[in-house]
Amino acid sequence: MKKLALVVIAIFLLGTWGVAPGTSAGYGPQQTVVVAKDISDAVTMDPNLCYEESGIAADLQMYNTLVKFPIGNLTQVGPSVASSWDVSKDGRTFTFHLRHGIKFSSGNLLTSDDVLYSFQRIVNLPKDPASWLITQMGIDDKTVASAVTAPDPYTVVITVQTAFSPGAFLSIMANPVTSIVDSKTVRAHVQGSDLGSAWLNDNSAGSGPFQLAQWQRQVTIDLVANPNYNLGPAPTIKRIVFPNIMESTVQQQVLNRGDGDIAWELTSQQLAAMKRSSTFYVASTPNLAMEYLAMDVRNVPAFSKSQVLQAVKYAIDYNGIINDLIAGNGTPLQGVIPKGLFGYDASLPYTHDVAKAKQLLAEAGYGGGFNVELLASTGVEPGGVSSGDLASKIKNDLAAVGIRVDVRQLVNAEKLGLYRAQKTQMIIQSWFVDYPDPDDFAKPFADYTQKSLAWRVQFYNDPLAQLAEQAGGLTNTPVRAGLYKKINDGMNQDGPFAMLYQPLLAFGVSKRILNSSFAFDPVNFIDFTHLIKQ
Amino acid sequence: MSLLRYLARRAGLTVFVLFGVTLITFVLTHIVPADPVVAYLGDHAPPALVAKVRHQIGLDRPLPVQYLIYLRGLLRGDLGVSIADTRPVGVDLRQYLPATIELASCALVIAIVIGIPTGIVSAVYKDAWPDQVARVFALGGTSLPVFYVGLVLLGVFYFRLGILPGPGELSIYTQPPPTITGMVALDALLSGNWEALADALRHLVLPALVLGYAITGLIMRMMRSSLLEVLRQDYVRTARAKGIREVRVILRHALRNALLPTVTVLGLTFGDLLSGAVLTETIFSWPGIGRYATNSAVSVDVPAVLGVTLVAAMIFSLFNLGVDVVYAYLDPQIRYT
Repeated sequence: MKKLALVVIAIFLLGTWGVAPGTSAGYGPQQTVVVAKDISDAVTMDPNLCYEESGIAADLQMYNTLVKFPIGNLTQVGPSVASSWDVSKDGRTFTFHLRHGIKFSSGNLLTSDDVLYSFQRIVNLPKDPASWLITQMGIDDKTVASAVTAPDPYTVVITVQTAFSPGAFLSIMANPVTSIVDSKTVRAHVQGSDLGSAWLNDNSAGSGPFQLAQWQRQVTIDLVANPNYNLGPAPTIKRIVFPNIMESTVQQQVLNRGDGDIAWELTSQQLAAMKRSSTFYVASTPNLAMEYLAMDVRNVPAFSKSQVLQAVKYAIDYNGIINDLIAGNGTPLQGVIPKGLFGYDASLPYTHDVAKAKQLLAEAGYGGGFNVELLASTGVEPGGVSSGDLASKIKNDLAAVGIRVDVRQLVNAEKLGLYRAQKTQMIIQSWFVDYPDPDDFAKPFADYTQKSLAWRVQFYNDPLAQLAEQAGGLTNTPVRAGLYKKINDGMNQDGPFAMLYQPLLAFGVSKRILNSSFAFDPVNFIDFTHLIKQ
Repeated sequence: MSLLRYLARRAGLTVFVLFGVTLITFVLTHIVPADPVVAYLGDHAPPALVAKVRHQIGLDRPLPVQYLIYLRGLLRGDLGVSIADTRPVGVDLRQYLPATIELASCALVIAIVIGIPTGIVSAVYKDAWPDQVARVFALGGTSLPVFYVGLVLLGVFYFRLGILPGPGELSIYTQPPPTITGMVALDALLSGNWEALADALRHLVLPALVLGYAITGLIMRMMRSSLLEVLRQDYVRTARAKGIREVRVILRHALRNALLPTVTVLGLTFGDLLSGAVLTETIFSWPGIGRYATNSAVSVDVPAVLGVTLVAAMIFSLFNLGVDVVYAYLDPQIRYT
């Protein structure tokens, strides 16, 4: 009897072995793009709550915002749901004129009610990590009703409650956190005080080219074409799948086997191999981010002297870091505004110059060097180098000029806690774009009153803070460019931040995806609407 | 009857153990200097938002108050809400635990099926070539890092030969079965979705082999050493002297006694498999509890860490109890009082 059972099980297993996976999801490989990506960061698909890369990558396909940056051009926003907008003379009131006839995936028409509801959601959702983008402009749960109004179904008026850069405001209006949700559909699925958030994890209610078919946490994000999409031409790709593939080696294998089309997180060595391959190509662009070394100007007396800060900047072997440690997965950057944004300064005043660094230290009275503790994380830095390796490199570079560095590696949460509490001496850290405007970079680095990066290292420089404030209030004019030039120069001269590099955003792409159709940038990510798969 | 009384007493003790586990974990997670709110909100959030979220989560209350609130929730079966993914921890555990149980069970079966016979052969042919081969094989299992074995097997069977599928529980073009138990293969079986079942089983092979191989060596060596010990006993000599066939001596007389330590190891190993599958889960994109535990620890997600620890402690206790009960079956001399 036992033998019979075993034989039955064996036959069953062998029988099922040969069954090939079908295309039961409806769309076959020709219409599907598979993006191998580590999506374990995704914690929500609610666009008004989402602040993680994987969630944003998906939400960008499902929802639209009032305005958006044309793909590849992050210096000026263009129309999207709003066809045009007016700005009041004081630069505080923005009137958006919405396009008529935009349809949500439900078939409902998009009107100003949906915009109002979406803004209500942003400021009222509990524990919203992205809400500060809006609340920093004085638009919060108490003021939203008066700050965001709709005189008619196709006009939305937003009044910024505090002094705020018009350019920065518009770029925040292009951020996916301000995505417009279908208020009728979401309202019908509210549970308690969640404003429909739980429902939006399994469903979507947007007007974008795709809609959510399924999100299985830690497994897959599956999007299918939105049949009601009418804001642009219907995409030829009908399904986008982000399977959760955490290991870059495995991402590469998935592409090599033909099971994936795009790999999101390949190492620089893997990308180099792909460049040599006949079946893949690499698409890369500087990411709107930077890796930097911060020095606390009060906790370490030596760092209160500009010469010492400059000595550190001269002591660092930038080329060694970029060419060897991150194998070309980054580009040089020494200003506080990354390449790709208005205000970017291409000049590189600091080169690896040990003699100059020693001379500056001697002039500052630190010819014999000094001791300093450097905090690094236990993880990996943008560009693909482990934080520990980068810290070792900095330690060696600084040792060559007499600065004795004691590296301490901490988990990121602990390191950040110390940094935010002004309790560091020196720290390796990165900064990423929140909204693509120079204001998002200049203020954190130069204006201590923001209680951001400058404040964390006690760099209380009023002239630079005022410059950042002044530049923030302008639109992209030559005057604004001049102010950012002054900020970059001032920060290079006296700032306690040594910029190490600007990491690249790079994808390994199968040649089945037509190279000329593959458009992307660090804010919109991949434009799937024009993608052509052969 | 004595067994029932014994089980009731052990269950009572387990409650105390679990209480101790929550207390120690709670204290430890708060001794760690990392800030869960900063971990959740990240580098960019302004201080006012950090303070607001800290208040919302209740982390601005005194520690004993936080612990009492947690215990009160626990008594109602509420494990709290994860800080990192803002979902109830119970919901997270219900999602991630079945995937790991499925993987760990298959790994354990593989380890038993390979480890115990190999251990027996190894002991019987002590120092001969089968023993040498088995010992090298076991050494590989215990000393080769799981991520290395995983990547090599994936590279060979998926990437080079293409006879087994890549990472994940199912292929992209396979319609997943409805969630019944949360174990994809079992759900496919229960719902009669043969295509998904075939796909799920094929996806299970490599990760289960990798995880199973890591403990096969341990089980094999334990089996070998305890069988060698038993084979030196007087009653085995007596059995042989009575002219009983060697196979019968080993399988009937020696094996049952030699299994005791191996069963102990098996019980503890299953607990290890549940919490230690993190590398296998990472390489094979397996949505299990190992990764959830690691992510929770790294982001100082206190309710999630407490939830995982509690579940792991319950599983360990349960398996220890199971092992003790199996003892009585294997060795009639053992009595429960």
